[in-house]
This record gives sequence, structure tokens and C-alpha cells, in this order.
Amino acid sequence: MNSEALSSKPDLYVVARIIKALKKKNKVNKTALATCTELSYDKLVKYFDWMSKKGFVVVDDNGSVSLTEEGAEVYDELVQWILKHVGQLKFPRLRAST
Amino acid sequence: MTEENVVSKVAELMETLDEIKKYNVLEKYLKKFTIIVISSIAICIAVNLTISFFGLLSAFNEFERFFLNFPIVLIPSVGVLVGILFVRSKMKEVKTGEWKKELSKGFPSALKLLSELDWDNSFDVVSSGRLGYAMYSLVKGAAYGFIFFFIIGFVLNLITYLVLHRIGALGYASFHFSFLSIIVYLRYDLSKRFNEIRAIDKLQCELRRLSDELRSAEL
Repeated sequence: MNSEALSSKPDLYVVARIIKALKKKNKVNKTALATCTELSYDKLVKYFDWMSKKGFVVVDDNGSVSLTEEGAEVYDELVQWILKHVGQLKFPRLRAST
Repeated sequence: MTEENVVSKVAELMETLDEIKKYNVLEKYLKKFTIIVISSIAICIAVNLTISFFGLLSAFNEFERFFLNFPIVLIPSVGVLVGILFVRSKMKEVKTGEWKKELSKGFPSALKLLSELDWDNSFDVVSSGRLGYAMYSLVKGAAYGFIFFFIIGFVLNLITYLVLHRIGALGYASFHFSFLSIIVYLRYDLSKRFNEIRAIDKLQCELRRLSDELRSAEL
């Protein structure tokens, strides 16, 4: 995924993985973040730049990354949004009979 | 309303999709099932004709001949059993639960599974396979009808033999009874199958809508 494509439409689950890791670790450097999210460093940086522009994450003078309040809210909204849509699904009790 | 709710709902969805894969197996192996069942019925008829043609049981009287002839019903019975076991074994080969490891990572993985699912492919096979699912029931029903015909005939003749010391006293009663049994069986089985297909169709519509929502979603 190149940076232009990323800026237009990021993978939601990658964003969610980064935010979830940041919620868990609080403050972490980019290399450690790439490791715990199982993303390549280059990919993480691209996503980080995009999320930083959106105001979801910030980096301090020591190079540690942390989640902003807005980032945490976006994550919760995403959970609620998915739950709203997935929660509407009604699954039939299926059992292919022979 | 938590992340766990999303994960459990997605797990439910994935389990349903795993089950749908099994419906595709029925469609895929319908021809082989039909060949096994029809062959067993053909062998049964051939054995019966051979016995009659060569008079293999001519040394016995009418009653003995009738009861000695009865065990050939085992041929189609075994055929149906082999056919069903064959389809079941193919169903067991369907890989299920491959998503469990991924989903154990929590909400982001649930999101990943939702985004990467090939909805159309999963459901299109079912859509094209609905006729096969119903046909499977019809083939099985026809075979059961054939077996019922023998069994009901045996029971009725046994009764008339014990009561009237005659066989064949009830004419075509075994045919009518077996036909009636199959109508009842098919009515139950086909309506159950069509209800399942309708439920799958409904789920397919809902998943298409969810898929569109996910594709158009932006942060």
C-alpha cells in the first residue's frame, strides 16, 4: 500500500490494531509498536503519519508514541459502529442434513 | 456493548459460514450419491429378475419363496447407507474453524475477518446449489420409497399369511402405503430444506449490506 492510497483509504483493522496496542501499552516507541502490532516498520510509519495528521496519535520529544483522547474515541466509535451493523445480523440455525 | 460482543458475534457469523460450506459439499457430491443409490436399486432389481428368470427358488413353495426373496432389500438399504456415509465423510473433510486463531486476537482481528471475507463466493455456490440440496432429498426419498415398498410388503404379507394363510391378499396395498409414507417424508424434509435455503438467502442479503457498509466506511 503506497502512502497516497493510505491517505485516501486506510485498512480499518490496521488502524484498530495500532490503537488497541497503544491503549494497552500507553507509551511506546515506533519499533516496539511495529513489533506488537505485527506490522512492518515502513507500513507502521505510513499509518502513523496518517493517524498523526488525523490527530489520533502524538509523538513526544523522546520519540514515544501515545494515543490521543480523540484516537481512543474513534476506536470506541468504530467498535460501536461495527457492533451496530454486525449486531443486526440474525443467524439461522443451520445444519446441512444428509 | 463491548469489543467482546463484536468478537462473539463475528464468531457466530464465521460458524454459520462454516456450516454453509457443508451445503456446498452436498451439491458437489450429489451426482456420486445418486449413482451409488441408483446402482444399488438396479442391482436389487437385477438380482430379483435373475432369481425369477432362472427359477433359483423354484424348489421352495410360494410362501418360502416370498420370504427368502425378502433379504434382497438389503442391497438398496446398503446402497443408501453407503451413499449417506460417503456424503457425510466428504462433509467432515470441510475445513472449519480456521478463523479461530485469528479471532482470538480480539476486535481488530474481527474487523480483519469481516473486511477480508469473500461473501459473494461463499454464497453464490449455495445459491447455485439450492436445486442440488432439494434433489438430494428427492433421490433419498425415492430410494426410501423403494425400500419401504419391500418392507411394508413384507409386513403386510406376513400378517395376511398368519391370519389368512395367504400372501398377496392385499394387492397393491404395499405400493400405496410406501407411496404415502414417501409423500409425508418428502413434505417434511423438503419444507425443512427450503426453510434453510430461505434463511441462507436472507442472511446473504444482510451480509451484502454489511459488506457495502464496510467498503464505504471511512474514519
